Amino acid sequence: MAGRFAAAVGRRALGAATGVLLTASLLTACGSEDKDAAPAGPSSSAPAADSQDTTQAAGVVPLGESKPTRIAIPKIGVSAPVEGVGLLPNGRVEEPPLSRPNLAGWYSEGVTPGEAGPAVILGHVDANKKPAVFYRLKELTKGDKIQITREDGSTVTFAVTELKRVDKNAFPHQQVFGEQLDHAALRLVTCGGAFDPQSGHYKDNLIVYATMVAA
Amino acid sequence: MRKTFALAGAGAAAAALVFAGPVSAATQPSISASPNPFYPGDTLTLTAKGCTTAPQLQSDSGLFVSPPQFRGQPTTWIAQGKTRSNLTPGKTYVAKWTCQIEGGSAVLSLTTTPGKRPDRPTPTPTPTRPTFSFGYDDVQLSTRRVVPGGSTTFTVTCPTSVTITGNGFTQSPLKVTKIGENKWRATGVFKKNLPNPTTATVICKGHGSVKYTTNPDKGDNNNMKPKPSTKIPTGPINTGDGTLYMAEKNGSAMPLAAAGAGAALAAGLGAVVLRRRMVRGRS
Repeated sequence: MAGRFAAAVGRRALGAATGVLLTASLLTACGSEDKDAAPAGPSSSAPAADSQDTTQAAGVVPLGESKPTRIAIPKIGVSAPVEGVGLLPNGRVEEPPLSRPNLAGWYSEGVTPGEAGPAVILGHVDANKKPAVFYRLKELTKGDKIQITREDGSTVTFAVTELKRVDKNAFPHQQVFGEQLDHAALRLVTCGGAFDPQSGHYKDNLIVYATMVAA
Repeated sequence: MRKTFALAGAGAAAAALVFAGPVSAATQPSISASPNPFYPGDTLTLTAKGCTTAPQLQSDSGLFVSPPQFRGQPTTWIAQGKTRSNLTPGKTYVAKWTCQIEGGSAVLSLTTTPGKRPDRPTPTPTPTRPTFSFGYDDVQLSTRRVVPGGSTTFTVTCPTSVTITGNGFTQSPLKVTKIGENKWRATGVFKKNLPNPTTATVICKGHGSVKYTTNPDKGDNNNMKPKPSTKIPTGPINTGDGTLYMAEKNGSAMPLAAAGAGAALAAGLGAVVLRRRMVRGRS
């Protein structure tokens, strides 16, 4: 009896230790000012079959205007708030503040996600020595799902069609922000490639192209 | 005795004969060439009649690439002769053959003048239909005024198909009807409570979309206006401070964290083992 009790205590102790460690790991990797969960580790990956879904953009009718409030990308553990970012006086797009690494920024001069046209959401790859909201964006593959919750309560699902890494100085602004489309599309943008300590910036941008598949 | 007869020669190729010996009218030899006229590089079909033996080329003043070989039987002989491509148009070339005829031999003479090949006509470009570009000009609204409970009718020109959505309509997307070639129509009824902004988007499949917007709350007379096109930003997009990249590159934060976690895990397991030993000792 005592032996069985002792074993139970041991299991509890081991579980507690593991729990502490997991918590510590999460805090180390994903510290964030937002209360929302920051990008989770690989254990949160969706089943492999999920990434093999086909993109079925045809037949999905675009929605009316409604601002995005949240973004979720189950495969890479993203669940984050979305706020509007605008255009700076110098013509550059405003970026979400580094002090809020888990915040995604929707370009409010463009269409809202779900409307006909390309909606654009920016997110940091890292900030303050921690992974930021789009840290694992490069892991996405064709068919992976992205969900956008909108102010009107609707949730729009997009499927990834393509990933592109481009030189930051040759970013296709017109195509990403202003392409004429007959359907609802989403573009996620973050940094990629090597970091250049001289300039203090990454050399490339990673662009994820997606089209609406459900609403 | 040799006789020369001028034979009827059409156009640029004419023939003449020289006979040796008595020749009856019935056996007068002749030679002709086709096509006529011809151009440098063409192949001539030569037909010799009246000879009892195949004509043999004597001279051709550079007309043929190689001597045409006559085949046939008395008294009809045919040969193919490829002319040189560098013949001078308008210049006269004379070719002569000899053959046997009844009662002697004859010389067949062919006088030719190649023509100038006409310039190839410039192909007329196939007229291409201008690519359709969808824009505000392709959409007409019966009224731009947005009134709660009111309606507006869209008439759209689009070669494919049309979808009209809007956040202010009681039904979205609107039911679109084809009313003619490339013409579509739909009527939207506005909700009693209109959102801000109230928008309507007209999509022409494969050709893009246009968007109308109005802000009922901002006193802009509730008139739907074309929404200005998206302002395209310029310059680099910097989404990341590189601190994690540099820390990982320098061998640092994450590995250290992992090492710390490993140490803590080992300590935890050690505590469990110790506890088990203590319990065992007690029992």
